[in-house]
Amino acid sequence: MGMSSRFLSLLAAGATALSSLSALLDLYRATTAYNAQNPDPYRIGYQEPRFREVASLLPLDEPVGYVSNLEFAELRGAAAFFGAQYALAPRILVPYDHPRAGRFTVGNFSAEVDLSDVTSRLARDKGLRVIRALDNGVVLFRNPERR
Amino acid sequence: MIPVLALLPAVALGWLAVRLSGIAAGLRPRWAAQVCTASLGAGLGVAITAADHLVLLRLGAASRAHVVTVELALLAGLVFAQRFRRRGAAPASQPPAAFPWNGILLAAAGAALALLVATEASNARSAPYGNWDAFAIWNLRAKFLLAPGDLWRNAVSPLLERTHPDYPLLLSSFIARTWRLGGVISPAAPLATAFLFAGAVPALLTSLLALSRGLAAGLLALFVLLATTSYIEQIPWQYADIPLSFYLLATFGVVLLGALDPACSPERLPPAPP
Repeated sequence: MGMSSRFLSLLAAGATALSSLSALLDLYRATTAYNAQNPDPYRIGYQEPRFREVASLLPLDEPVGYVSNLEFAELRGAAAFFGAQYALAPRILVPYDHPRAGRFTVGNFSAEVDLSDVTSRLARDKGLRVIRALDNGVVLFRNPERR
Repeated sequence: MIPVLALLPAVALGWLAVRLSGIAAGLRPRWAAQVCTASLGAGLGVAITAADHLVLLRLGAASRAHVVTVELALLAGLVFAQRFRRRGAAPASQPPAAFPWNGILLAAAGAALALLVATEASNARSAPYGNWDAFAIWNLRAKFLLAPGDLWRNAVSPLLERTHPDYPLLLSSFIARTWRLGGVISPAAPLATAFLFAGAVPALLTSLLALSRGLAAGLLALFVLLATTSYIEQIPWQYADIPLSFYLLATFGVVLLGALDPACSPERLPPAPP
């Protein structure tokens, strides 16, 4: 290998190593900054304790209805649904008006709604009976029409 | 910690199976052959234990005791079978010529890996549940696979239409098996699984190239991989893309190892018919 080839190969190898180190350093900085501001961004870690009491009342072998003030088509609504589904698995969550929904419906409400207002309105409009309403926005309903 | 320890039998199983095949036997440098065997074994072990967990579920026997029994039996069988393993053909392949500045490249690789570890440690602390597909698909399905009785079948229920019940079960079955062995559903198991594959990919890539083109080529490939931050970002997400990339790389890697096998060198092949 000639002198110039050796120099060129060292240059190329050095540039590759430096670009990798630079990319990783940028990623490290961006990641730590993001993580400091957004721990558990989808709040999945909060969902299991939040749904624990309701989970203990729900059967495993029938689909559970799901209702929320947050639309599934929006990011917050989808994250709320999947957070609840993860916390309540292996129970299957389906929209509360799904024909396969079982006797129970879980309500998952965000902090900006008046829980007693939304709960009583849902109970009245949909014929649901409130079994448990927790301060954390989780409500358990029973649908008397389903056996 | 226990869920992380539950990965070890899987890795040991895969390592023994790859070692038994002798696929990297006789290749030089020896360290690269060993790293290659270990990384291929990690992926194979995940596949074997995920599959046997699914078989046990299908048989209605997926208890912790049964999972332990089957894995120990497989381990014992593979340890016994090592006496029949294919030894490296002599003479071993010649190691490629060394690049004069390998020491500098090694130091840079060490720094790059340290940065990667620091980044992933931050991610593991901040978002242990991963990103969307982790909690909405892979780890969610693993929770379904832990359901009692026949309820594990709900993992593929069409009612889960929002979470792709049609997706393959390898990753979910392995996480469920690890949770079952560890006795607790915690984010440690899927995180450790993600890191296992995240470690196996660069190890396999580097060792394959070190075997075929020398250490410098392996380290340069490692730098290119680590510079691909859109790939590296996916490690803590716990998505299936990293395991999939591992199995794709392993497929090509096994073909390459076959081509490098000293037993298949032209002078060892029988003469062509006249």
